[in-house]
Amino acid sequence: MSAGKAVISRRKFLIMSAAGLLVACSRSDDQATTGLAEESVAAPAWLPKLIGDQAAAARIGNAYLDLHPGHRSIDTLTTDIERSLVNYDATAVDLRDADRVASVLQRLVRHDYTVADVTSVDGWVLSTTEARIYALTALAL
Amino acid sequence: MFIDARNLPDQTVLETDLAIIGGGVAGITLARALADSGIRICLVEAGGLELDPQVQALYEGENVGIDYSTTATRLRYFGGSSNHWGGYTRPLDPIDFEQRDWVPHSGWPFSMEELLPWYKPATELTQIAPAHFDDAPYWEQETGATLPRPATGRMRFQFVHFSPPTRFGTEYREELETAPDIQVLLNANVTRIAAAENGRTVSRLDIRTLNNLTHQVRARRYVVAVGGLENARLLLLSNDVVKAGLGNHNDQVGRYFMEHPHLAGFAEIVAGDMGRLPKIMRERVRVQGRSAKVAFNPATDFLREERLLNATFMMGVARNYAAQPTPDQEEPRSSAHRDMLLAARRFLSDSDVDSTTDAADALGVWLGIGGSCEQAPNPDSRVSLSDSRDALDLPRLKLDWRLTEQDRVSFYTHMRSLALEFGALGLGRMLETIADKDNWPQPVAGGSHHMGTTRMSDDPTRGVVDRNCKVHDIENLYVAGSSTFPTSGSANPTLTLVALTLRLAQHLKEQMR
Ligand SMILES: Cc1cc2nc3c(=O)[nH]c(=O)nc-3n(C[C@H](O)[C@H](O)[C@H](O)COP(=O)(O)OP(=O)(O)OC[C@H]3O[C@@H](n4cnc5c(N)ncnc54)[C@H](O)[C@@H]3O)c2cc1C
Repeated sequence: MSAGKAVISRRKFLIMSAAGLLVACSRSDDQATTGLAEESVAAPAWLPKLIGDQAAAARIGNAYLDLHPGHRSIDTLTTDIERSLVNYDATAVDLRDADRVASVLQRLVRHDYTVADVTSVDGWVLSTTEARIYALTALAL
Repeated sequence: MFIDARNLPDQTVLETDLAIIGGGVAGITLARALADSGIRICLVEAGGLELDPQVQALYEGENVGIDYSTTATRLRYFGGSSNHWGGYTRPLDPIDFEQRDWVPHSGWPFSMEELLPWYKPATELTQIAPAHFDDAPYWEQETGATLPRPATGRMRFQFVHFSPPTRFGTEYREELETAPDIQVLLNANVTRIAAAENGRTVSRLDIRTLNNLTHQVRARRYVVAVGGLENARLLLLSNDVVKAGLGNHNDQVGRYFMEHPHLAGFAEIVAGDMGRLPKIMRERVRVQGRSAKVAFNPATDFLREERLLNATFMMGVARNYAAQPTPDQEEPRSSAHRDMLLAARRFLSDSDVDSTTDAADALGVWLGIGGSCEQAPNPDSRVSLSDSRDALDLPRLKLDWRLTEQDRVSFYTHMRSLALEFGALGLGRMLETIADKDNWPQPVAGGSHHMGTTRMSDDPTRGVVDRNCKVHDIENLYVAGSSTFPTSGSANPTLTLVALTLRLAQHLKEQMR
């Protein structure tokens, strides 16, 4: 499956999520469209725009993945991040606009700290979204 | 006039109106404030004008609680502990005076309003006036730097001021020496506050010198001002008439000992963009001859909502990181800091996201954090008398400093708040270095702040002194100092104890007219 196809799948997922349809449809829809065999291997276009240094981010990301082995999937992480993004700002669902997504994710990371949505990675207190972004970096960049 | 008690004829009796025991911050403040009142004062000080190891050794005590030095945290000579205090100065917060249903034994007999008129002259005595403790616009204007606005609702910024630090013994010595109504008796250890037979009035002070002379001071009124640990010890030592010790009818003297647990090395913050972390947040800034620095304190509403104790955090730059690591920055801790600064670079800047990798010369800094927490009043945290004796053959002080789970949870929550605040502001990331989150980080040190051992309460069964700092049930005995604080807040105590002492001076003026 191409990266583009994965993005379309997630877009659909996110639009549905924004429309409140997620609970009823997400599993079957997501599985039907993406499926395990269709696991994405490409980084979303917004990811490099958020990472100061790939190697450093990947080291932190790997520490996160060691703590959360179930998240060791580009698709899962991307979906989780984009789902948080939509929940935070539903106007940002156009995932083709990488600059806009990255900008909203930057705000979302700060927002995570504001609402104490944080996780601990090797002692670092990190926004959940931020930690996933580093984990995604470890897997996809 | 200064008199050396070692040079007086043995068994001298001095008569005066007011005897102040202890020539430290509180004693000197009180004597000065009453200098022109027409009240004759005798200030009785255990030490001389300089540190004498033999005199200082009288401060040695027995420790049965958290490891604590009773000698390194105070000085026994004229000027008292101000001879080596750090000068960190800030008033208590209004909430510290309140009775908080989640803090056992909390509540002062009055609100902060009562002390406000005395805080101002206290800032003059500690040489930090005019003070702007809670005035961000003032500091923004004076420093030309915009301070970030707290974003989480958990924290707020206050401004700790730094006294030069005022050495009370040096700064105010000449005034006392030349004041016509003030006698300062040096090298005079008060060994007992002698009560009349009824146990309701004090009749005299018994004094011993280290060259074995004994003297007496007789006065109309007496003020104990020998420091937050020794105030309790001296009352307990004065047990010839009231067996439990003066003022101790209700077993309150010595209890509720509070420190400010000072924790270092519990967490580290890395910050990337110094342009967004104004200097006053990371180092002392000097404005118009005074210096100040930002303190991070919990927001009052957050304290109420989460039912927490108060705290103060301050930080300073521990290390600078350049874009290229220096050889000494390759050890694990620096590598971890550098990784975080590099990874989070985009999150720690205010510029719009782009994909360029601009390698500026400075990568960021490691900020060391100091934390000082309020501890809840605890009757089991206490000063009592030891079985061992000092060179004057008096029972030494026995200290049992204890902290509670409530204290620890509060501290930990506020530490988290600091991490969240730095994250929410996009300023930095916190690395928690506490090895065991379920226990106090070691070592827990104090701030040399001795509070609570003769606490103030309108109810004699719950305190030693009343709202005027008069010992319950004793007509002519008062206590000055931070031992009267019913709760400790998280601000360093000296400004507040000076304010309370000035208030006491006014009260005594009225009473002794
Ligand atoms: C290292 C250190 C740093 C500190 N830093 C700060 C700070 O930054 N900010 C802050 O607010 N506070 C600080 N403090 C605390 C501050 O010094 C005290 O709050 C203050 O000195 C207390 O004043 P006091 O008059 O009650 O006691 P003291 O200043 O200790 O004075 C007590 C006096 O009583 C005398 N005395 C004792 N026993 C007898 C006796 N039996 N008979 C006669 N005289 C006696 C002593 O010799 C002494 O002169 C610090 C203390 C230390 C030790």
